[in-house]
Parts: sequence; structure tokens; C-alpha cells
Amino acid sequence: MKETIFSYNLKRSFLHGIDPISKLIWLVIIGILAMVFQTPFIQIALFLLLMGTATILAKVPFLSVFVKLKPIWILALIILVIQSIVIQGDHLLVKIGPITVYLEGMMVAVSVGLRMVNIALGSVIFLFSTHPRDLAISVHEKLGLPVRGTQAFFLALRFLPLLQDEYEDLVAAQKIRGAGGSKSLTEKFSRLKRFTVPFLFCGLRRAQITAMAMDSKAFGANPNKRYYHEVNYPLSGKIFVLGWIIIIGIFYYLVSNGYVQNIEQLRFACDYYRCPV
Amino acid sequence: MKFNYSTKDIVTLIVVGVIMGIVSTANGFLFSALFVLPYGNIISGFIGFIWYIAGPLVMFLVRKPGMAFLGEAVMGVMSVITGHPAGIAMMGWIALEAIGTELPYLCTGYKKFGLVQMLIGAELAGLFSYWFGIYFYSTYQYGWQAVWYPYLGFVAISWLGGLIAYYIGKGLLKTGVVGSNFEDTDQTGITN
Amino acid sequence: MLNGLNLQISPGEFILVLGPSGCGKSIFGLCFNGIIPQVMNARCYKGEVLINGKNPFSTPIAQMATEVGLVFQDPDAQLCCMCVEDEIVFGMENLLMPKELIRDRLDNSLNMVNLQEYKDAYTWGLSGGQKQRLAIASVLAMEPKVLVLDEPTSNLDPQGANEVITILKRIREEKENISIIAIDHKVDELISVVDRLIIFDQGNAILDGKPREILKEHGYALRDLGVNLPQMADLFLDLPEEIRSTAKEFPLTIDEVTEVLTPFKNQLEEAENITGMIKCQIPLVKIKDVMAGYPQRKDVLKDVNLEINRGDFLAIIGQNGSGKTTLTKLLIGLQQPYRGTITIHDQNIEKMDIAHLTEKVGYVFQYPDNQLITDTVYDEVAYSLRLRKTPEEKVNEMVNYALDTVGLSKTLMKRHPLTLSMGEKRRLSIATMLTLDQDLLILDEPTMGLDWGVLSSIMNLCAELNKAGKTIIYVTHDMRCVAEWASRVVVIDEGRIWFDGHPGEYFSLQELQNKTLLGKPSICRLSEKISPHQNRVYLSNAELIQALKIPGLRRDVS
Ligand SMILES: Nc1ncnc2c1ncn2[C@@H]1O[C@H](COP(=O)(O)OP(=O)(O)OP(=O)(O)O)[C@@H](O)[C@H]1O
Ligand SMILES: Nc1ncnc2c1ncn2[C@@H]1O[C@H](COP(=O)(O)OP(=O)(O)OP(=O)(O)O)[C@@H](O)[C@H]1O
Ligand SMILES: [Mg+2]
Ligand SMILES: [Mg+2]
Repeated sequence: MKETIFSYNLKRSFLHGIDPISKLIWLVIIGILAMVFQTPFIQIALFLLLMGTATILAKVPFLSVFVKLKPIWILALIILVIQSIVIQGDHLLVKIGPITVYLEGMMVAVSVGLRMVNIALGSVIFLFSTHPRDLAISVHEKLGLPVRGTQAFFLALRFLPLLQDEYEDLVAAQKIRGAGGSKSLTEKFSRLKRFTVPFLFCGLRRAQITAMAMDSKAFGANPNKRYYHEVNYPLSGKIFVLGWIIIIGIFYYLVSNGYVQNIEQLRFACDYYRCPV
Repeated sequence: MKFNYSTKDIVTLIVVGVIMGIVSTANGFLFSALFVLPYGNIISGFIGFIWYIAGPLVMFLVRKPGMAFLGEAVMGVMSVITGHPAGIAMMGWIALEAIGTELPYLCTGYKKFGLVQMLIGAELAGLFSYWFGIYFYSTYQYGWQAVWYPYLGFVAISWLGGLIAYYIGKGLLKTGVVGSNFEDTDQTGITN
Repeated sequence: MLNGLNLQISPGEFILVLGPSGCGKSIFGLCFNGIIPQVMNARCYKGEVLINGKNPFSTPIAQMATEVGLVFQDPDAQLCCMCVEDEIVFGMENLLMPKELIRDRLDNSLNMVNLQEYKDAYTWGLSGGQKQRLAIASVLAMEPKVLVLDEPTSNLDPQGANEVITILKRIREEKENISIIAIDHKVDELISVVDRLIIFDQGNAILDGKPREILKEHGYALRDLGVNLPQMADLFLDLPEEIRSTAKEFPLTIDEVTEVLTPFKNQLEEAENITGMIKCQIPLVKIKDVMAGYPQRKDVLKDVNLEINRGDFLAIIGQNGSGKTTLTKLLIGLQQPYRGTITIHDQNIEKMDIAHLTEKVGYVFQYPDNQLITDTVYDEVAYSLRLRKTPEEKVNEMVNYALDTVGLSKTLMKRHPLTLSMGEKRRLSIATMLTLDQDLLILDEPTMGLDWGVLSSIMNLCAELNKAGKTIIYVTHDMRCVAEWASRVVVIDEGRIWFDGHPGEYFSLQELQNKTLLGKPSICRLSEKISPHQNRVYLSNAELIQALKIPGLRRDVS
């Protein structure tokens, strides 16, 4: 967890020089692209574009893209396998015993699996090239979020590694006490409580010390806090966003004019999700 | 209605939000894994309630207007940051669920913060989220059947989120780490 | 909690506040900038505080921030930003200071605490000592008139604690108009620097004055109260009247006590030879060629070989991150070694499941909060028994026995465990480990943040259990605690065992001490000064006094 969230790297690259707001908008665009276009070809194109952005524009080391996204890759692979087996169609590709793979299933599988990878990839690029501090500052300055809100964002990031450590300790401690075991539902429920309450207790008690420390440093004294650091908003950021909006346009054009075999696949997907069997 | 949050309130909000955000991400992975299974759209609905714990819980601990909304919202943002499979699209659901959990308190004028409000809040969150899902995936085109099946899982059980939040909240009150908050101020009204 | 308190503090004073656990020291500290009563829901019933003419009870906390800086015990919890630099500018940004001023003060305070190279580092990557220094820097940057530190060194290893204390001394020298109020248990290092000592009990400052005078007048009473005394003062109080009367003034430092004791040097017997002390050795745990760690760092422990014998009272020491906790976790099966074997009673523990292992080994965590899982103290102790389907009368009997042993009163039985005080929680977590009657008891930093009274009662309890036949392993940063109780000490540094033997031997090895930077208790340094050519140092005050055989002198019973 620590590794993914604090992956900001001091390397200089094109994306490092862009302001966080532009990158945030870009991230939303990626989200839309990935969610709206449920066709494998668009997803593959998007994936390639993102890989290009990651390696060339953000200078993310090629290997670390794969390492960081390991859980997503695995999940995507599971989805790929299950979907391509389950979904039936007209064009049979492979048949091994009872297992059949149809072209239609394969296409839905690829598009659903890659969609997740693409969204995650976008986030990796964003986190890699954006200092969290700059993000918080620019969200305050440009989007007008109150200081307490942006500081809360900082805090959330601060608490993440702390809570993770706390969690590991707690799991270990409870294991030793012999918590666990019984399979009955009430026992499970009380186990949940037995775990959550001390966990939240430790977290909250620590957090209250943080609150005291912040209060004693005049936190919230002035609603218009002025940050010591400055964030630049260069033109290149706007151009970057514009470029991606154009890409959406192109994709939309291709899909709506039937250049990409989409409609058919989409219907399959909808049919499938509608109700089982 | 005054939003006079103290640092302590914010910090409480963040701790619960961060923890539930991570849980929510894990739940998201589980959800999408279940969803693709046969009958997945029904089965996966049964774990949806986990997303509605944060809001009622924060409200129970802090008891100030807007806290349920913010609890859900922080949870959502954290789960996006920690890599929820739905990614940024998560925010759509979160906004509606946040409103859902806040509504019962709003309607009762922020006087009571008991189990009833928590259950209704979680239930509303489940409903809203479900309707958004129907709209988002355009499944309404396919008639009532499409609405019916997932209803079983998703909406039937989402109140459980409120119940769990209530038990966790009660447990925390007993430890004394929170709650000294309400004893000498005028925001009492702990039901039961 | 505080009642009838009247104090006056002048600029530039360095004050040390002492008192038993739960006497209201922290509350006293929090009153300074109005966190009590404005933030915490405490109530101020009467009275007022005035700092530089401002009353923190009614002045907004933000305005108090330039008057008072607070530093707390937990190095992790009090940092609220992600980068070192952000943390320091945080307060100044809140006060809308101009950028140039912020830059100047940022540089100044980084210099003050020696963190220049870490300007851009993430705060969670720092060591405990660095975090604590950063916390001090971040309040110094706001240039407060009063600096209040609530147990700033309790969570730190000896080196980190030293760093912090050095910084405090430096602040005192370089910034004349800052008053420092330190609430701390590490008295040995501080007592000779402070101008004034305030003793708290039950919410009131019962004593207030120059350290020397207070200790001279009320030394015995303070000890009974459970207050941490400097070890040298403690020793002096125990010396026979005839020696004490030779002292010109009440000694606080090692040098001063050396001066007092030098005339009696010839009457000091040598410390007992170590070889005579080693008991019969039946191995209980064998650790063989173990390499262990975490997926990200596989070699936290490298080639560790260790045999723990039945009846050992073993202390494990080392700097933060040296692998102590990892080693103890191996013994309870929370972690598996990558290489090598660990056996208990000649059984390989890799093959046992944890539930089975817990019947042989008890483990008390560093933070007892994690370990407490039920709603009442009684259930807590009964938990593992009920899990094993023990009949209820037997449970009742065992619970009573365990609570008696650790000295928790019966009135607490219905309380929620998490509402107990730190010392009580610690004792409760030990009690939960007594019910199954394991042979081996492991305690991870059982002494953290406790006053001397509670600490020694817990360690004495362990010593008693040890005498009754249990093997005890404890991890600690408190060298006095090692010297006084352990029968064997293992020093770990960077995953290797550097020393394994009797504490007397360890504290006599100067070279090793220089390498590990763990420091040693004052009594050991004293004994080196008085009789440098002994085969080993004295380990505790009691030992030195026993060795003091002066003909015609009766030992003062105090
Ligand atoms: N938030 C709180 N609510 C109720 N009681 C409290 C609270 N905080 C502290 N107390 C009680 O006030 C008393 C004094 O606490 P305080 O923390 O000042 O002790 P202390 O001298 O700092 O002890 P220690 O050496 O253990 O830190 C304790 O008995 C404690 O139980
Ligand atoms: N869960 C973990 N994952 C990865 N590395 C870890 C983990 N826990 C500890 N480490 C690393 O292993 C090393 C040894 O840790 P360990 O907790 O054993 O040290 P320690 O001697 O107990 O320190 P302390 O005095 O701070 O308690 C440290 O460098 C730490 O960073
Ligand atoms: Mg205290
Ligand atoms: Mg440790």
C-alpha cells in the first residue's frame, strides 16, 4: 500500500511539469473512456496509449508498471478466463471437452479485463508524477476546497501507513490470543466486532494526539491559509488535456460510425448482465 | 445548521474513512470477482452493505450535521486512491450513497443519532446506489425483471451496514476514546 | 483533575516535571495552550493560567500557538504532514506569515535539530528520534515562549533519546528566552541540566524547587510515590548514613557520587564473579542458523544462532529496527524463518500451529491495546480458558489467581479493558498470559512510558515468575532495566547477535558499547570510575551497597 500511494518520484518528465488539476481532469477522462467504451479494440488502443504516456511522458520505469499493478493483472486474468468461458455466442473459437470459448465471450472478456487495467494504469501515472502536496494545494487554490478539507487529504495519506502497521500488529496479537476458530455466524459477528473496535480505538486515540498537535500549531486559525509552496499552472497542461479530449472525440467518431465492431458486442454484454441464464 | 467541525472531528472522520476506504477497495475486488460468476449480479449484491458502514459510523461518533455524508465521501475517495477496481467511476455511486446516509438525520433535524437512523441511512444508500446502477448500465430498458433480481441481494440487505456501524460505534463508546464529546454539550440524544 | 495548583514560571527556565502515572502531568501540559479545556472535553472548574499576559482558557488556540509549543510522546502521531519541510512550515502557514520569514525560520529550525539533509524526505521514513526532533523543530519554528514536552523520549531507543536530549540542551544554550517544561521519565540525563524540578501528585504540584534541594529533603518520600529518581540520587539515598554525611551537597551526577564514594573505595568488595552465577543449563528453545525477514527485506535477521535455557531471564536489546521484534515473533510462530530451524522442547515450531504453540509460549505485545479483545477485564483473562472449554469454576479460580499475581484489584474486574491506564493494561496483558501456565513468556518492551514504581513492580513480577520456574524473554530500551533484572543479555545489531552473556560482562565491554551506542546505566559508569580495574561492573544500586563492607558501620535501614 505504501509503495503504490507514495510512488511520487523526483524524476523530471513532461508530466511532472504539469499542474495537478490538469492531470486530475485527465484522470477523469481516462475513467470515462474506460467505462463508456465497452469494446476490446478501443480498450486495447487506450492501453497502448497509456503505456506510451507512462513510459515516455511520465518516465515510469517499464517494469514497475507491471509490478505495481500485479493484483489488478491477476484479477483481470481471472475475469478474462471466466468471461470467455461463460459467455456464449455464434462464433466458436476453441472447444476442449465441455469448455467452449466463443469469439463474443472473448471480446467481452478482453474489454472488461482491460478496462480495469486501464483505470489503474491511469492512477499509477497520476500518482507517479504528482506530488501529493501539490495536489492538495492546487485543489485548495483552484477548486476552492476549504483548508480543512485539503488538510484532511494530507492526513488521510499520513494515516495510511500508520494504520497499516497498526493492522498488522493487531492481527498478530489476536492470533496469539486464539481469536478465531469457530465457524458459527454469531461467533463470526462478534469476532468482527472484537477486531474492529480495538483497531478503531488505536487509530482514533492516535489521531486525537495528531489533532492536539495540529491545534497547537494554529491549525484552522485562518480560513485562507497561504501555502509556502507554489504550484505552477503551465500551458502545457491545458494542451495535454485538450489532446486527450480530441482522442475521446476520435474514439467516439469511430464507434458511432461503426468502424469498430462495437454495437454487436455491447448488446451481448447487456444481454448477459441483464439477468442470469 | 452549523458546520463547526473541530480538528478532532475531522481526524475521526479521516480515520474511519481511511480504514473503510481500504475495506471498500477490498470489497470492490471481491464484488467484481463475484459479479462475473454465473448469478453474479445477485450474489455480489449481498456484500454491498459493506459500503454503507462508514457514513452512519462517523455520524454516530461525531454527531454533527454533514458527517454521514462526509464519512461516505472520504471512504469513497480513499478507495479510489487505494485502487478500487471501479476507479474514478466510483465517485458517482459515492455521491448518491453519501446523500442516502445523511438523509435520515437531515429529516429528523439532527436530534437523534440512534440505530433507526443508521439502518434507514444504510438502506437509502443501498437503494440510491442501486438505482444509479440501473441508470448507469441502462438496464431499465430490459423491464422489471432486470430490476427485480438484483434487488434481492443489493437492497434487501444493505441495512446491515447500519447495524454493523451501530455495534462498532457502541463498542467504541464503551472504550471512552470517543463520546466524551456528547456528554456535556447539547448534542445528546443517543437513543436507547 | 488538577486542583489547587499555583505556579509561576519565568522566561528561560528549564523545568522538569515528575510524578507517578496518572497524576495529571499530561493534563498540566495541555493546559498551557488551551487544548484543555477548549479542545478536549475537559472542564476547567476554577482558576486561570496566564502566559505572557494571555489566558489560554479563553484565548483562541491559534493565538496561543506563538506562545506555547507542544511536543508529545508518540513520534508518529504528532506529525500531520507528509514531508519534513511541510511539517515545519505548517504552523507558520496557518499564521499567514510572509514567505521570506518562513524560509528563514525553516532553515533555522532545521539547523537547530540537525535535519538539513532530510528536508524533502517523507516523514514516515524517518527514525523515531528523527521524528521527535522534527516535532520539536516544527514548534520551534513558530518561536514559542514556552516549550512543553510530554514524555518526548519514552518511545525512543537510547540513541534517539540522546539525540532529543542533546537538542534540548542546545535550545537551552542558544535560545535564552524560551522556557522549557519537560515531562519525562529519563531523569538521569536531564536532572543535571534543569533549573527547577516540580513534583506532581494527585493533580497538584506537591514540591517545587531546585532539584538538589527537593531530592535532599524528600528523597525517600518520592521513591515511595513511584517517581523516577536519577539512579545516582537513588543510590545516595541508600548509602549508609556515615557516608552520606560526608557529602557537601546532595549529589546528582556520576562525578559527584564518585567524589563521595572515593574515600571509601578500599572498602568496596569486588563484584561477584560471573561464572559462579550461571545456572544449570537445560535448553528450552534452540534457534539454529535462522535467517528471517519480510518479503520486502528478507535479511532482517542473518544467521542467528541462539539457545535459550530453562530458567533464563533474558533481555534482548538493540537499536530501533535491529530485528528484536522479528526475533521474538519467530518464537511464537507469527513469522516463519526463510532458513534454519527453531525448536521448542525439541519440537520444530514450524510444524505446530499457533493455537498449539500458545500453550507453550506466552507473548505480551508492545502495545497492550492490540491484545485486549473482550469487553471486561474478567472476560479478558478468562478468554483463552473458555476457548479451551475449561469448566467455569476452574476459570474463576484461574482468573482470580492471575489478577492477584499481577496485582490488579478486584474492583477493576467489570471495567472495559481499554479504559484502564497504561500500567494497568500492561499488567492485564501479562495476566492473560498467565492462565495457560506456559513455560516461556515473551514481553516486547514491557516498560515503555511507565514510571519507575509501575515499571519495577512489573519487572519484579517477572522476576518472581522466573524464580517459580518460567523462562522469561523481554525486549527493552531501558538499560537500567537490563542491568537490574536480567540474568542474560543478547545484543542485536543489524540482524546479527553481537553479544550473548551476562549483563555484568556486557556492561564491562567498552568496545562493544561504543559500537552499539546503546549506552549504559549510570551505576555502571560510576563503578568504572570508582574501581576501573574490576573484572566487572556493578549492575544495580543494591549490588554496590552490598559490596560496601565498612567495618563498624551498620547498614542504614531505610
Ligand atoms: N480524556 C480523559 N477523560 C477522562 N479522564 C482522563 C482523560 N485523560 C486523562 N484522564 C485521567 O486523568 C488522570 C491524569 O491523567 P494524565 O494523563 O495527566 O496522567 P499523567 O501524569 O500524564 O500519567 P502518565 O505518566 O501515565 O502519562 C488519569 O487518572 C486519567 O485516567
Ligand atoms: N511488516 C514488515 N514488513 C517489512 N519490513 C518490516 C516489517 N516489520 C519490520 N520490518 C523491518 O524489519 C526491521 C526489523 O524490525 P523489528 O521490528 O524487528 O525491529 P526492532 O528491533 O523490534 O525495533 P524497535 O526497537 O523499533 O521495536 C526493520 O528495519 C523494519 O523496517
Ligand atoms: Mg502523560
Ligand atoms: Mg520492536
